[in-house]
Amino acid sequence: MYIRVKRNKSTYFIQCEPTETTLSVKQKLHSLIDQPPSNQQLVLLGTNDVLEDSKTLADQKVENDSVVALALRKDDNAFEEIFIARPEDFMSSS
Amino acid sequence: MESGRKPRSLVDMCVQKLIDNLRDLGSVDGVEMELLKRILPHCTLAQLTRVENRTKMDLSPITNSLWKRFYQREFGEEHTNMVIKRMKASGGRVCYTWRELFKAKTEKQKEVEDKMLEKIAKKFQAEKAGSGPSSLSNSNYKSPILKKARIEVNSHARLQSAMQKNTFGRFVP
Amino acid sequence: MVGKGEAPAPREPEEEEEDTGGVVKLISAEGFEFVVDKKAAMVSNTLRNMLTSPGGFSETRQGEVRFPEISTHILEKICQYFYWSLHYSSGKETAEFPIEPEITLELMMAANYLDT
Repeated sequence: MYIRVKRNKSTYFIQCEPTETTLSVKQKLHSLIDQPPSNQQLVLLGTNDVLEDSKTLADQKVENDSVVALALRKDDNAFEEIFIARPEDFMSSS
Repeated sequence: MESGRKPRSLVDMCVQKLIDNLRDLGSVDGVEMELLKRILPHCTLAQLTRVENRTKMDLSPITNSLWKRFYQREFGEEHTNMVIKRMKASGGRVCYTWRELFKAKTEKQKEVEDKMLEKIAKKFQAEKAGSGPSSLSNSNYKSPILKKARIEVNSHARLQSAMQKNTFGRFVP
Repeated sequence: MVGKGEAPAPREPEEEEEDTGGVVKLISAEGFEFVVDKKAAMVSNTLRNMLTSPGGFSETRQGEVRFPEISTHILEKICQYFYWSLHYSSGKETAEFPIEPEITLELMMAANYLDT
């Protein structure tokens, strides 16, 4: 299966298995965004549940094609607010 | 790793989806002719009319043969052949698309039909003024279909002759 | 973009051999980015050609391809199709790929362009 990890105007398609842990997904993201798992927070869209590193995706109701929001750690050590841009706001004609 | 199972292409899926939902199809501006060739032949007369009315680009290279088919179905093989003959006889000076021919023919037919209806109404009025039955309204004559008008003329004639024989007792005042 | 004022240098040999590993970034008309596995992107014959052609589309060398004509939601749908297609090819049980009627026409045009 795959999930879509979104932050601002970016979407990462990540191939994974239901039995995989959140940490494993974060490690895959690490190679793409150059941020270690400790600096990543993943939130399942829809339920707004923060995904826990040790739990599997299936345990946390993350399914194929699920959308997961990514928040990164800010300078003050807190995680940034979740933000996913909408294409409607960037259309030239409107 | 691969099982060799070949997935349907996204284009094929979309084409099928559009064919399944032709009733919602409007403008097809910008769509490649190759794709439209696969989709438009599935349109009904009403669907094709709407698509062409809403589309700015010329679809006649694809739709001309479709309109010819509609023409044949609507006005008969014989009449269609006559039209083809006439166009040929003009030596290419007169050349209409089948869509135009269809429209013209439909309009002409409507004209004839309107005249016919008018005649019927007048005739009926005259009868009403006489000793004709008053319980028959002429609401039946509003049908836009010529064929139906003919049937009504026929039945009217029958009614007339029946009245002359005075077998319609209940209509007699 | 090159602007080094010298004849184009011969490409490094390791770049000549294109593999299906790694990712590629697809960028929509509104500037939204979709990062997908190269093997997923290569479900599209157009992208496959871009990514494997030795002549090189300069953009693909940097691992990104821009689609100024494809809107964000359509490009995302196409990426979803890439993964659906991979899943289907793997022989695993796969539900039908969902296509919303209101985007079908636009999706078909983009899919046709991407030859997928």
